Amino acid sequence: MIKDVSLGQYFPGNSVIHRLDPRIKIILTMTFIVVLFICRGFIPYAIMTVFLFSVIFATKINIRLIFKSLKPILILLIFTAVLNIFYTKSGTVLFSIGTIDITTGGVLTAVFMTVRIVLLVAGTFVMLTYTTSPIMLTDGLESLLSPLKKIKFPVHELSMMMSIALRFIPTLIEETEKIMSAQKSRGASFETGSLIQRAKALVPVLVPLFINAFRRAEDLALAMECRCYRGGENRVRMRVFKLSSLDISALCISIIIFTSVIIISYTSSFGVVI
Amino acid sequence: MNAIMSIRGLSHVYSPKTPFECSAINNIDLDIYPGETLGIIGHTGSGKSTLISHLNGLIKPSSGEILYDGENIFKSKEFTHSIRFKVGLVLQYPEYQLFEETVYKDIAYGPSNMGLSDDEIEQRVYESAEFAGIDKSLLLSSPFELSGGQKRRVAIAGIIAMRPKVLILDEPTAGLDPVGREDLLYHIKKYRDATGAAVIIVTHSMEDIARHADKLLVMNGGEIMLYGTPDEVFSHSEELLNAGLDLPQITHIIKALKARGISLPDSVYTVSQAVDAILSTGGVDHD
Ligand SMILES: Nc1ncnc2c1ncn2[C@@H]1O[C@H](COP(=O)(O)OP(=O)(O)OP(=O)(O)O)[C@@H](O)[C@H]1O
Ligand SMILES: [Mg+2]
Repeated sequence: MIKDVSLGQYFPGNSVIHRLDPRIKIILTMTFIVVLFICRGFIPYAIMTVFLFSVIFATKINIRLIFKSLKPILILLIFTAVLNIFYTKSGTVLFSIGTIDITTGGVLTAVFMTVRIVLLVAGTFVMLTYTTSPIMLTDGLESLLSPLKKIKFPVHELSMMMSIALRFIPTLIEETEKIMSAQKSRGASFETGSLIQRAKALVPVLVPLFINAFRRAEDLALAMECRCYRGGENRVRMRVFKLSSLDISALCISIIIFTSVIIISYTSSFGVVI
Repeated sequence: MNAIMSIRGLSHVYSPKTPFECSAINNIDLDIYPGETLGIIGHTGSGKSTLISHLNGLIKPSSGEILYDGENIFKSKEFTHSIRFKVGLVLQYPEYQLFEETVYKDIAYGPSNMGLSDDEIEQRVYESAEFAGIDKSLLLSSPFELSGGQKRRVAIAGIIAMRPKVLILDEPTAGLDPVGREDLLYHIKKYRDATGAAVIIVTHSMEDIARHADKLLVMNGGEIMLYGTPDEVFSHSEELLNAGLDLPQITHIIKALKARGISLPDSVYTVSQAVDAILSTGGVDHD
């Protein structure tokens, strides 16, 4: 049901990638995305693909799961590929459909664009959301953004809100399922009837869901207050991030790979430039 | 007597083919008879809730089948939907599902989904409020103003109002005080006796189950460990204790008395049985 949506889900584990410092993972993922957008040619893309597959291999997450999580973007992929095939005019003409010429350039661009999007989405999933728990992710983000505190930007408050929100997503999903089961047991049906009927059928789900959510928020606020929470001031962390040798080596290896990809892309003696 | 529901070779696996794969119940066979109260016990995570959620078609089995009056409840979507009115399931902590402005309307939600007439609905609301032990004066108040125990009764009345032939309750007494528990179970029994329905109660309380169940089902690790009358099941005390379950307190006392050489029968599971047993020993010799 709703739970099966693996988009942005965390798969607990203890692989090398899981153990990396979240700050390093955030920085590397961002660099990975930037490099994806500026690299060009066969060899750079091949290197990036191999890089990602090695990371996937290192996470020990079943590769089929990763392909499955790409399903939602399938339409986007097809759309991009088709547009590029028809609208890019460069290289030699392969064949023509009516007045439209299909060119080698078009096909190549389509292939590269598809690979780029797949790498981008899969990369973010694998390097960030699948292997980093939401709490680590927000903590890492807070730590990376902490220089902004100097200009009075509420970094801590923001990241606290984010972690609470992330923390409660699974709870709310679970609760929605429970309430839906309960109302189904009283004969509610959410899959039949006209649009209006279906919308009406949701009232018995939404009312308790909201009431429970407010009740939870109140309880949580009370519990936080009881433990003297009052924002980021003077707060120390239980988890202090410290770069390990693993983080340093991951950083070095990735920088070497990314730099070579960019050099190869722009010295253009290899592969096709598009 | 013919079984009203039959479960054949039922297994369920949650999130198959993912890292979260979890086999919750395994190859369960069970018959449910009208007019009988079946108690289901087992430690946390033994698959009790999973088992009963199958009975009204909330979740589909990974393998095996569930028959109601000899018909597979999943034979068509419409049939599964109609089964929900015959097999009433009260989930764990049902008080969090109330949504209407008044208790009356909330109880009426089930019957109105059945497409009954207003008169019929009214009659059923009053009847089920009585079965669940809800005072008539509460019917027009908001369910959100009630106490936890009263809310639970409203939720149970909401299911009883559909007049199910099989009434299933998942831990109906959790979090209630002793008087409230006894009263609730007494009302459920009254419903059973008045309608001849089958009742299934999942519980962690050995006392409740020893007093109210005709048959006991002990789940362990997703499988049926023991099934039989309370006498039969509680006679396997070693196995129960090994499965992380307890015996009724009174049974412990009787055992301790027997260990001191007082001759008492083996099968004592309720306080009233204990009273009879102790009286019939004709007094204890003091030396
Ligand atoms: N929605 C779900 N998704 C995945 N696994 C689940 C789900 N619901 C239950 N499980 C798993 O199935 C097993 C049986 O759970 P179930 O809820 O049936 O146990 P239970 O006997 O009712 O326990 P309790 O006494 O705590 O209510 C557990 O190991 C649980 O982790
Ligand atoms: Mg349960």
